[in-house]
Amino acid sequence: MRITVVIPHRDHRASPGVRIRYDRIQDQLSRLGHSMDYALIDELRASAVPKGDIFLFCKCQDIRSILMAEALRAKGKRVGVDIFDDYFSQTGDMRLSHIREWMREMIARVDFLLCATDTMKARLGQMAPDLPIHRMNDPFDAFEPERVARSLVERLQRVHVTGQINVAWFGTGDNPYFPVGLDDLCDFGEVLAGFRRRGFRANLRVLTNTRAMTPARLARLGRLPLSPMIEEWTLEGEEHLLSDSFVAFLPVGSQSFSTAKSLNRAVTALTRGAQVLTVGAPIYEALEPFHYRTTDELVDDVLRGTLRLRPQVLPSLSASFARMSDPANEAAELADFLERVSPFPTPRTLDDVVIVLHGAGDGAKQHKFAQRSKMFSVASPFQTAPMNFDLKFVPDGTGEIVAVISDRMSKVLESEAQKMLRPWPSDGPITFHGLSLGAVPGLCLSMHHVAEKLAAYDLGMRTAAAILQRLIPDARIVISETTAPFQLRAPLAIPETVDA
Amino acid sequence: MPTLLRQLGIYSDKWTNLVARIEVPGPGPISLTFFLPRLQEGVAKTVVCSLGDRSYSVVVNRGELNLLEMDSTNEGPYIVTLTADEPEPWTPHDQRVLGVLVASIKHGGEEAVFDFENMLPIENQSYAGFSSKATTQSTEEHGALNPDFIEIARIPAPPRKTDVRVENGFGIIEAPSDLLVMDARNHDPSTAIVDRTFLLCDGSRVLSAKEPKSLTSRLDRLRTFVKMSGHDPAVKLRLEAAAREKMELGNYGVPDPADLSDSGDCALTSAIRDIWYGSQTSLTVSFSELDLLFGGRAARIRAFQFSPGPTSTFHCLTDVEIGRSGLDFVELELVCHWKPVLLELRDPADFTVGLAAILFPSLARGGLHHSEFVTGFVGAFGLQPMLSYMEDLARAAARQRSSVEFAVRLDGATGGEAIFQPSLRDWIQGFGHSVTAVLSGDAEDADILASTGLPPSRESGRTLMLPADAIPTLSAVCGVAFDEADEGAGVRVPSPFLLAEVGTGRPRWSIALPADPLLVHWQDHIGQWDYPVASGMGKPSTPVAVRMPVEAGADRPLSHLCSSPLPPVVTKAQAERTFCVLEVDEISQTRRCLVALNTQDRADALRVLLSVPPRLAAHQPAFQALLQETGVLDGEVRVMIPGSPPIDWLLSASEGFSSILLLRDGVILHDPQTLAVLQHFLSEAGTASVAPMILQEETVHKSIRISHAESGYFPSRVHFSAGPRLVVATSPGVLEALPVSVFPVIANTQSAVLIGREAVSGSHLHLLEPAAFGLEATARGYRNVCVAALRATSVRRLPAQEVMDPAGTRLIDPSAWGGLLSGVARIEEIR
Repeated sequence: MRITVVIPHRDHRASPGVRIRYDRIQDQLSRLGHSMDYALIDELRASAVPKGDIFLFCKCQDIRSILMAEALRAKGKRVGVDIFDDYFSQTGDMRLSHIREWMREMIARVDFLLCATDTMKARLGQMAPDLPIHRMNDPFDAFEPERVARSLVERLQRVHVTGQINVAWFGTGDNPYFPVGLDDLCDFGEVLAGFRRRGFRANLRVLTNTRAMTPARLARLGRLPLSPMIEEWTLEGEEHLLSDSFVAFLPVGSQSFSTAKSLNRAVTALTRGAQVLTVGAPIYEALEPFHYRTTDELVDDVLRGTLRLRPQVLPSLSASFARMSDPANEAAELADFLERVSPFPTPRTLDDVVIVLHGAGDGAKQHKFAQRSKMFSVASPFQTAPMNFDLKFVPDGTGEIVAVISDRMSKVLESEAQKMLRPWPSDGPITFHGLSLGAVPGLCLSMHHVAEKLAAYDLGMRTAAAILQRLIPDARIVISETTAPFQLRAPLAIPETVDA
Repeated sequence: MPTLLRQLGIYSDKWTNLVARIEVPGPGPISLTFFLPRLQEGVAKTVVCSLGDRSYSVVVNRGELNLLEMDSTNEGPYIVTLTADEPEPWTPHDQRVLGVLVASIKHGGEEAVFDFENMLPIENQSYAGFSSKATTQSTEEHGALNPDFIEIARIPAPPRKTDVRVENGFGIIEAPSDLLVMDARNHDPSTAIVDRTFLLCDGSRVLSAKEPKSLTSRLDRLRTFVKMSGHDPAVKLRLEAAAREKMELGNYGVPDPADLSDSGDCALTSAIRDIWYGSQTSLTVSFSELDLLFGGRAARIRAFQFSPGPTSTFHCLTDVEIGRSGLDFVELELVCHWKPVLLELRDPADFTVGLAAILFPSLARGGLHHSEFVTGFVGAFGLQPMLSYMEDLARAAARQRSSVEFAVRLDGATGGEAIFQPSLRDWIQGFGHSVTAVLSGDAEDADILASTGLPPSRESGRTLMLPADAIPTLSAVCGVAFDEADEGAGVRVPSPFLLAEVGTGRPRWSIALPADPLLVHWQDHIGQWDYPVASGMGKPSTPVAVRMPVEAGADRPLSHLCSSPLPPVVTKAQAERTFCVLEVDEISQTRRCLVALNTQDRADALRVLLSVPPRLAAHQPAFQALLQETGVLDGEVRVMIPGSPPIDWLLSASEGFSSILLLRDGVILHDPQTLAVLQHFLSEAGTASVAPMILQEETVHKSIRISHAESGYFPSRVHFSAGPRLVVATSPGVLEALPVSVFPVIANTQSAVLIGREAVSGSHLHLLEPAAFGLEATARGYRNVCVAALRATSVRRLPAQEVMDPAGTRLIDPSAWGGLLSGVARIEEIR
């Protein structure tokens, strides 16, 4: 089997998700006779489906993945999505409307779903009851029990000799929608005072992304009982930190977003020989005998000399890992699952004409994808980017609206409309034609303000879609919206008739 | 010894005095013999021996043994002082010479001999035997008198003298106490023998005094401390019997045994200059003028606190020297942010001289209740107001009889908020209250319940429903905010609250809504909550909660444009026709407004009148065309003077309509439900006007900025020059403080407001000027409402507005202001 992971852009190749979930099983998959490679969605086109058996979309949460999934399926490929984060349960949150919309569309176009935890699997199961869903645990990187055993002994000795406990916090410190990461550390950080109460000195080191280090957060962090030393995250830095720290502190909030998260941070800490102290939502129950829930428990064990992560339990930890995060295991189970996923029974023939109608959000990548895929990329009145759209609506100065249509698109217009085309000046290599639409009440142009766009959005998008349908009757129109809170009040229905 | 000599101590202050304190079991003659070492050759000292009111001089010479005989009808205690008869203090050499080694007391036929050097009674020995041995030794063995002890002659019973008495200059108070036994042979001034009584709290020695009396006088203060820590004083406090111990005195010599007791406690309390949190768990207490208490000598500060939780233990937080070398503060690592902290000041002899309790440390700067103090004590100077507020709270808590259920709403909760911390819940429960959870129906509830362990709400009689990011104020927990009586069981009213910065507790806003059940009923419809709701507790008079919301995704301004979608509105009446007056400023703005108006769900029930100013009169046809262009079905254009429309004209123009929508150019109703929601709230009887929250959209350096513009008028201040005049103003705090609430305001602005035609018809005003109309309507018994959850946006800049005396005292008498202000929302910025 050839598995291709489709990622949004080059930087993603080095992101934690990709690194943890795919890089770590690549070799294992090869051993089983399969291959895994990566593709950038911006290098794909729906019109030329690449070779491969299985295509797994990772974090491309916009129209590109939807259209690409359709194209792949039409060619008999199997398509799935790996869902990392729960941005779907918060149905009342307007900020996530575009992500929920994407998910709704994607579910209808894939053969399977992938996720990392049982909690997520249950939630996805409710959203997509007919889809096969596989839980692939985040595999660990490398687990060398002998090396870890030596390090464990040394670290406990150091605590006894110096009376100092080194605490680490690592990971992505922020999220654009939810207070997680460093906010969790600030919320739960007070428990770290427990070390001092028991007579130990403690220090805290934080390794996180720079974007998370806002002044407000830094101010809150400065008030923790252990004033932290904060550094920018790097992979080497994380390995170093965990190998040097005595305990990794993993506070978890109870929002739906947080409770669906995987165990990988705890697994990473344990594989590097750091004790794990977790508070808040109990998502690490699968690691039950190896982690702590209070500082008192940890200090009691330090004084006794027997920690929950100690050389004697490493075989048992290995066995747990084998069950839940061994790369070899995960690779095998994934391969097994994928082999059993049957492709969509009758590959649907794609419509000849697909029109991508861009809404208010930034649409450059989606525009390029559409045109590259031999689809038509149309700017709604809300889309103001200066790109060479196949059709855009412009005022003609007399209160009427002209549709400026590219030569390529003009060739597929309905015959009556084609007759009405007239030349349109352009200052580039592409030829455009103009088509007078008269005064269209539902289309407002030259909207500068977000508020007016919001007000006119539903009607404007429907009107534009209706016009397009009228111009190319057998076209399929898909809406590409990348910004909340712009959202249609109801999905696009069968086009209404519009007077020419 | 126990039968004869109950207590024998020798004390010396600066080597001028030797004092013995003797207690015997009954009256009768008592003979006291001190064995004194020989004085320096050729030196004679006169020693005054006094007993009670009698004193006699003894000349002490070399080789003499001083002897005292007293006859008394009392059992004592006898205080015998040996005072140098000279003004200057004796030199250490003298003292060395005069130091008492052994004393013999004879009384009632018994003799007790006490060895001061070893602090032991000498068994089976009599003075006679001792002295003869000494004499024998000294003359025979050493050739010279042994310098350690010299026998001196007996002196006859001294005559009575009534004009000599024990002087307090010795440092002895009248009540017997304060005797220290010194190691006489070494004359080592660095040690002393002290008697101690201890007060134990939870088994740990907390206070130390020479007399139980000085401890029992502090019991009330300690009881309050233990009670506010959530424990039973009867269980935790114990007096430990007197113990005797040898102690090091340090460089300051023998301490002044003044037992300050209450005055010491007051001195310590007033010596606390400031308290603040350096971090979440570290409280710094700084003192002033501590050195005055001890004349420059070192003292020690100890601090104690009970830890939180069911296994609460008593912790000593610190034990440090203070008052010397300029150090006048202590940093305490608290074991609990909420529970009281006990401070104890000890003198160099390690006796407690001062006791102070910080009963509610969270009131300090940096603590999570600090905003409560700042709001209640505006302009307070120094720490004493805070400490006395704490005393008031403790007294109120002690009087409290009924308990409160603090029911936390789980919608939007992360589980990391302060209210979910076990230490806070435990502390609240210590006052007899309970903390429960109100389920929101989301799947997340189960996760939060699992991780926090909160029980589901019982909705008992007295309940305070809190948003998840709030904590109850001290006045709520101590019962100051509520009436004791179970008033209006089941009636739910909004409660005043504070808004503070998360983490630091820095105060931002103080918000009060009228205690009107109608507001809660409205909010039920919206389904989201900004404020606490009290049920069964009357009308709360002070803020009951401090909210500390986390602004997640604050860098996404567009999220302000719509709060979560409002539930669909079900109208009561079908044909609610609205007459809209849109005041035009500029045609492109007007187009925007009309487009938005046309997307309203109720657009078909709308008649739109464009009020065109005279300067644009020539463009009337363009506006007419605009109406058509934007698809307005029922519209007209009219040239009118801009500003508030004349009421007479308005009423006649809106004949047949039930409500009037006033709209300014540039205000875009981008939520298609706006008109429906406004009509829904207007239909509530007694409502004169309803408006959404108006936001402002600006482009600043190519990025969009959305900020709050208007949510109606709020009481701002009162001017007293030239008659009392009420000033109302738009408040910037609504977006932060009440983003999803429905609340009454003094008046709505005219940017976008739906007014009931009936309310207009009863008005005596000539022009429909918004602030005046609002006030006048209120005077006539109406209300004006702002629905903050509903948003509209102005693309024109709307400056903050302030209107002085909108209705004039003619319309609303100043004596009615109280009633007026209590009927509207009030938002105050706290600095």
